[in-house]
This record gives sequence, structure tokens and C-alpha cells, in this order.
Amino acid sequence: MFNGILPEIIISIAALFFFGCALFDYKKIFPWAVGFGVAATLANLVSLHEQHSFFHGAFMVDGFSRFFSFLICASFLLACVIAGRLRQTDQEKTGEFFFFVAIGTLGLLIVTGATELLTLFIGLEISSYPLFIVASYRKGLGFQFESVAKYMVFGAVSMAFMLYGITYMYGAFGSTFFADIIPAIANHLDDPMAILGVILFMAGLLYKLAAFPFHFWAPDVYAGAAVEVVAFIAALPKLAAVALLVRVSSMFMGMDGLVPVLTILSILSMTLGNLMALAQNELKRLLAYSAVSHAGYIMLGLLAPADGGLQAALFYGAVYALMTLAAFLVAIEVAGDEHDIPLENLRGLWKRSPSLAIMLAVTFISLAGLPPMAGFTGKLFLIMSVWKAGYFWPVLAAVLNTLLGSFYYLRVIKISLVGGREEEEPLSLPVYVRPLAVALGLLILYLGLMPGSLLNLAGAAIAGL
Amino acid sequence: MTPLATLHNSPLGYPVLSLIIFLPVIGAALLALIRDEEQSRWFSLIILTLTFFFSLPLLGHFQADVLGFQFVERHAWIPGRGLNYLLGVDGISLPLVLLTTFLGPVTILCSWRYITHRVRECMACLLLTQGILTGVFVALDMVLFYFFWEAMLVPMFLLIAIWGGPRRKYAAVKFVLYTLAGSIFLLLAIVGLYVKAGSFSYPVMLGLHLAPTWQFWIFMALLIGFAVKIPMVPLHTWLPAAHVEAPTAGSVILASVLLKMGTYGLLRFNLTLAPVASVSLAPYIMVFSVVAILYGGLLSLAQEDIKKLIAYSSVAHMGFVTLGISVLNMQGFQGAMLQMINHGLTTGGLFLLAGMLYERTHSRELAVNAGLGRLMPGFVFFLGLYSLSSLAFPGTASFVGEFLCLSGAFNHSMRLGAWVIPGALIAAAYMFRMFLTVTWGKGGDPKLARDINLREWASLLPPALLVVLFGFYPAPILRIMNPVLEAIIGRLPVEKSIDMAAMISHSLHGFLN
Repeated sequence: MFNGILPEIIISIAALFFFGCALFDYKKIFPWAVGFGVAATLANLVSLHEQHSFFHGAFMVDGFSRFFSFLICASFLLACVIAGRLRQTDQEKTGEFFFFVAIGTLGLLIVTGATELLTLFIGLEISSYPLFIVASYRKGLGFQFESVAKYMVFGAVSMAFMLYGITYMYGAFGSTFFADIIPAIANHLDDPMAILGVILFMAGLLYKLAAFPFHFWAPDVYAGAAVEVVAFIAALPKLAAVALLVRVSSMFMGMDGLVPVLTILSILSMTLGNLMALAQNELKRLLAYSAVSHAGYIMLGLLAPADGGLQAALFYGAVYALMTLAAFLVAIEVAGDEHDIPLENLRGLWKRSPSLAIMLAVTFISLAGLPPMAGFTGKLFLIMSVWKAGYFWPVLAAVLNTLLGSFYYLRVIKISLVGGREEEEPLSLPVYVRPLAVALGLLILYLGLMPGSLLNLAGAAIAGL
Repeated sequence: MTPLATLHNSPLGYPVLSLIIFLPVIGAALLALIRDEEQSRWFSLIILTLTFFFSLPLLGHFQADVLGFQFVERHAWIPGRGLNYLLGVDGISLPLVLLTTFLGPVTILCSWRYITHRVRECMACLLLTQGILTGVFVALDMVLFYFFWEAMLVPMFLLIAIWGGPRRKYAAVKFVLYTLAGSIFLLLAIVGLYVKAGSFSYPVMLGLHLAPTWQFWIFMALLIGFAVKIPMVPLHTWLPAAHVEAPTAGSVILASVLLKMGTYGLLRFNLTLAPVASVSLAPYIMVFSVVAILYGGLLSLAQEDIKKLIAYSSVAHMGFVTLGISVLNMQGFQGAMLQMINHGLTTGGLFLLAGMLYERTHSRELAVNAGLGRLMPGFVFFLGLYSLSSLAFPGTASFVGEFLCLSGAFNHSMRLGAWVIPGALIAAAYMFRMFLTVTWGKGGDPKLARDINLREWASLLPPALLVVLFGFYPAPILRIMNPVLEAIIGRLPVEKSIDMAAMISHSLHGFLN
């Protein structure tokens, strides 16, 4: 049965190892982090088909949780490779950085497997607090504390919402175990207390996902924290949030009033995110607002649990994590020591590193949702299922937002591919960045053209719910 | 099942359609391995010439009297979601596919010396565009069609934005945003059709009998998507900007093939998937077509920039195509199809000539190039031929197409025909104005005149031969497309059955609930 939680075990060992490194001031952690990442990702292949229940049913190892543990571990590995050089982080804190990131990842793994409300809440807390701390690990400057404060206060408030929601749900259903709640839902479809509980519970998840109206922390945290920290914050918690939202909506979507709430939030999230992103001249802020709009797209999938929407949401969540990490690969390489990464830093990227420039173009075309990239295929699945479920207006909003989004994504592509002088200094890149960039670009293209494999995995995960 | 939707397997032993799509795409990828610029030019030329030769068996083995799609390739793409890799050609798409592959080598030849920096990348873009455009015409799965439709934006954007003229970035972004704004509605229509049909396959959708309300909205959404591409007035303003700023090859691709995507879509999807709405909405398209013909012609008459002049003449010519489609009779359809091909050849040729002038004088102004033609006899030969064809002079290809469009319009109503006739006159005026100025005008610097060389001959001659050939003998193309066009007409209901005002209010009400 320990095969089933092998990834969790490996990440825990990694966290302890990094803690030791921090104690003994050992700095060359990067290869170790990559090694642990590879081990955890491979461990998922062992545990992919395991089915176990731990702690009296509070934590389940099933197809769904293993799908997400695979995604989270793979993103952890990718983020470690991309961010491991810690360009903007205080070198003194290398050990702590990896320790906290590993603990945060462990928390996310707990969240995806939790089938009991309090376990789930504890998992969320474990995943949040380490990230609050690493968000402050930035060398020089001093602005980062503003962003940490925002991150933490918003986090604390939304967690409080969530806890409040959990008490309501406990009040309505009489249990915190999903196994007991699921059979009771049918009797509470129009019970205001249960509905309020579910909506408040979702608030905490929307915060993790940076969806409207819990997105206000995102731009400031993205802009203020060190860029490698943001790479983690931007990708990993989103995956866990998608996992939980899908799990929750697969249970509660029949309740009165949930569909309108989610529809409105998703439309607002898409639209506001895109509108705000239009005006940004800083890469990280732009990515933050784009994250808000993508949170809206993912929420679309929740509207159509019966028509493949959940599967589409999983697919889009996975693709989004991949696209974000790919975007941050470039962001990290063009980042300077100053506070911001202005879009101007991308000028002439074509001359400075053709492979990064092409990958950036592929990634942003994908983020914009244009074929033949994975972002388009994901969006297509989402709107197919939502319209099939009978909702037209969210589909129209999503499609119009694609147009809105392409304005700023296109601007980034234009700056990096077209602009620039003839004689530019080539970027000094570590050896592994070029093959990594090519591989990421090809992967995004592959998932766009041949989404079948990932989609089947997502389908199997949903079937295991 | 309607005979239009039947799928005939390929008589050839290999996937010929995939081959002509992916040979250029693979070629573009292989260009990454070639370091030398001259080699990359030759490599691209060879690839596209090969592609053209590979596309010829399509013509040889096409059975003109058989309805439905031929050379079909079918594979499951994403099982469970109704997506297939489904390719095939019929009488409408075959001429356009051949036009695309035929013009491929020409685009390489005209970029030979015009492009001086980032040559490899430019060749890769041209190859990609070629493959993707072929894909648009042969894709029978709507998502596959949309894939190709949108994927074309990327290499075109780069072609304009990197190798274009002084305002290239503005033009490139305008081009992409305009097209995107249209194609999101196309996507909506495709997903809407999927919701009704349960599959993205076009032959399956042909079996749909949609309610008039649905037909109306599907027609509108498709129309917006296609109208931007065609471009129909008032959505045409991206065209002059893109044409003027694009490098010669970009202009040729835009004018010759890309605009045809829109009219192809109109003919293929709008008329067959929403026949009831087509009959009711065709008069509105007619009005916009007449406006395009007259307004485009007048604009063209006032231009000082040669490329802009040709660009606006394109608007007018595409107006003839949409007119031919919207009159919904056989002559109109035939005329529209012929006009699409002839406009591709003729305007492509004119843009080649404009590009050659630009290479010599580094200006596209009529005044700067005035009188140079006198010193370049070979150039003037082609300029004369293509200009005559552009104004639909008898004996050139466009005459047949435009004549059929006009006779279709007269067949529809005398008044409509009367509105269009001045358009033909204006065409003569602006074409002669350009031709006369370039040939006998005064003000150009004679030292810059240099007659066209062998490579330029090679790029101008093949389309010119076809212009003359189709001018005298259009029967082979007509024979290929007649059965399909008749079948499309056969699907159209005889009478208008949609009350527009009631329809709109009813539809809004329906969508809200």
C-alpha cells in the first residue's frame, strides 16, 4: 500500500533533506532538487493504478488523486529545472527555499487526495504558508514585503471563508467525510445552509486559482516576489485548486444556485483578467492577469459535469500549468536585478536566443488560444461541453475573450520576434535551457495536435471519482 | 444521405492530400538544418515544385461526373469527441487546391532577391503557408478546417511583420486581429453545428435539417468569419494595409489564395449548411457586393500607390465573386468559381510585377515608376496582359468569369445587372490609368529601368499562360465543378421563408432561455 503514496514519501524525504542542507549551509542543492523531482515523477508511474484509503477514509489514493499527483510532481520537477538557479533569490536562503517549496508541494499532494474536509483544509494550509514565506525571499530591494502581506492577508481571509463554509457543510450534512456527504447531497439540493457552505468553501479554492473576486493578490505577488518563486506559485497551487474544484463540483453541481454563481464568476474572471492584462507593460503582471482570465476558462468546465466539462477542465488545467511554466522559463532568463521585468526586456529575443523566442511564441499563441497549440484544443473542449450542456452565453463570453486576449499576447510575440536591433548580445543561457525550450514548445504543439493521450488520462481520472 | 456527402476512396495508393499538405510543412522544419541562404532558396523551390507535381495526379484521377468527395483520407483523430482527420476534394475545392500548389513555386521565385535578411526563416514561412492553405481547402472536418484557417495567421503575420514595408508591424497586427475577430464567430458556428450534429464532420453536418432560426444564426456567424477574409465592404480595411506592407510573396499569397478561403467558405459551408437562411439573406450579400464593386473600383481609381491600387481592385473583384454566389443561379456560381481562379492568377501576376518595380526603384508610387515600362519590353508585355485580364478583356481568363457573374446578375434581375455594369467600366479606367502611367508616363528615372531576367520570366510566364488558356477554353474547369454547383443549387429552397425581423427577435428570445 505504500506504493500508492510513494510520491508523497519522496517529496517528504526531499523536504527533510533540504532542511538538513539549510542547517548545514550546503548550497549546491539544484541537482538534488532535480533528482528528487525526477524520482517523485517516476514514483507516480508506479502508483498510477493503486487504490487505497488512508486514515479511515480521510485520504484516498485513486485514479483522480494520482493523476493530479503526477501533474504536480511533474510541474515540481519542471519548476525546479526552470527556477533552480535562483537568480533573484537571496543565495543565503537556498536551502530554505527548496525546503519550503517541497513542503508546499507536499501540502498540494495532500489536498488532491483528501476526501475529508478538515484534512483537505490542513493540506491547503500546509501548501499556503511555505509559499507566504518564500515569497519574501528576494535579495536587495525591500518591496517584496508588500506583496507578502497582500498574499497572506488575502490567503488568511479566504481560508477563513473556507473554514466557515466547512462548518456550514458539517452542519448540513452531519459529517466531514465525503463518503458520508455524497449520499446525503440528494436531500439537501435546495438547503440554503448547504448551498452557502459549498459556495463559501469554493471561495478558498478560487483564491488558490486566482479567480475573480479573489484575484487581487495575484498581480502584486507576481510582481513583487522573486521570479523563480512566482514560477512555483503560478503553476503548482493552480493544479491543486483545479483538482479540488472538479472534485467538489462533481459532487455538488446539482445544487440550486451553484450554476449561476459559477457562470457569473467565470465570465467576470475571464473578462476582467483580459481587460486588465491589456494595459500591462510588465511581463509578470501580464501573466498574473492572464492567470485570472484562464481561471475563468477553467471554471467554465465545471458547468458541464455531465457533458465532459470536468475532463476538459482537467485537460485545460494541465495544459495551463505547462504553458505557465514555459512562459516563466523565458521570464527567468530575461529577468534583470530590477524590480520588474518590463516587456522591453524581450525585445530582440529572436537575435539573443532563437530557441527561447520560438518557444515563447508557441507558448503565447497557445495562451491566446489559437490553433494548432494545446491552449486552443483545451478551449475547444471546454466550449464544446459547455454548449452541449445548454449554456450559450458563457460560450460566447469565452470566445469573445479569446479575441480580447489575443491583443496582448500578440503584442508580446511581436516584441520578441519582430522588434530589436540587428546586433544584440546573445543571452548567456545554461546548457540545458535550449533543449528544454525546444522540448516544451514541441510538447505544447503535440498536446494541441494530439490531445488524445492526456484527454484519456483525464477521462480515467474523472471516472475514478 | 445527400449525394454531396458521399466519400469516395482514393484511387491512388498513397495519401496524396496529406502529402501535398505536409511535404511543405516538413520542408519548413528541414530548413532549420540548412545554414546557407542560397541553398535554402533552392531547397524551398524544389520542395514546392515537387508539391505541385504531386498535386497533378489529383487532376488526372478526378472523376468529374461523380458527386461527393474524392481522394478521401479518414482517420480517427480524437476519439470520443467527434473529431476526425478527414480530407477530401470535390469540384469546388480541386481547382483551388491546384491554384495553391501552382502558385507555390512562384512565391519562392519572387522572394529570391527581394528578401535579403533572415532568408531561411522567410522560406520556412512561405513553405508553411503553402501547406496550411492547401489544408484549408481539403479539410472536411470542421475543427481541422478551423485549425488550418487559424494556423495560417502565424506565418502570414511573420511574413508581413518581419519582411514587410515601413508600417509592417501595424499592418501585420491589423491583419491578424481583423481575421481573429471574424474567426471567433466561425468557431462559434462550428461548435454550434457540432452541438446539433454530434460530430465535426462536414459530410455528417450536410445531413442536418436545422430550424430556420438556427440556420439564420449559423449563417450570420459563418458569414462574419468569411466576410473578413474575402474581404467584403465594410470589413475590407485590413486588406490595403496588409497588401501594401507585405513583401511581394506575401501579397501574392494574400491576393491569390488567402482571399479565396473566404469565398470558398461562403460557397461550401454557408450555402449547404444553411440553405434556408441563404435564400433569405442572399439579397443583403448582393447589396454589399455591389457596394464592393463600385466603391472598391472608385477607391482604386484614386490611388497613387501601385500596390494599393491593385489591393482595392481586389476588393472590387472579390465583389464580383460574392455577387456571383449571392444571385444563387448556375451562371453566377460558375462565374464566381472562375473569377476566384482568374483573380488568383491575374492579381497574383500584378503583384509580382509591382514587386519587380519596387525592387528596381524602391518605390511603389506611380509617379516614381512612371515611364519605366517603355524601357522594359518584357515587363510591359506581362503588365499589359495581366492588366487586360484584370479589367476582364475578352480573350483573357477574367472575361469569362466576370461575364458569367454579370449574366447571373442579369438573370436575377435587370436592375441588379444595371448596378454592376459601371463597375466593369471603372475597372477599365483604373487599370488603363496604371498601365499608361507606368508605360508612357513621365517622371521616372530611366537609369533604374532594367528588363526582367530569366527568373522573373519563370515566375510570370506560367500564370500568364493559364490566363490566356482559361480565357479561350474554360471548359475543363467548368466540367469539374458543374455537378457540385448544380447539387448545391438543388439543395436551396425555392422561396424565401424567413421573416427577418420576427426571426431576430425570436432568436434572441430563444437564446436567452
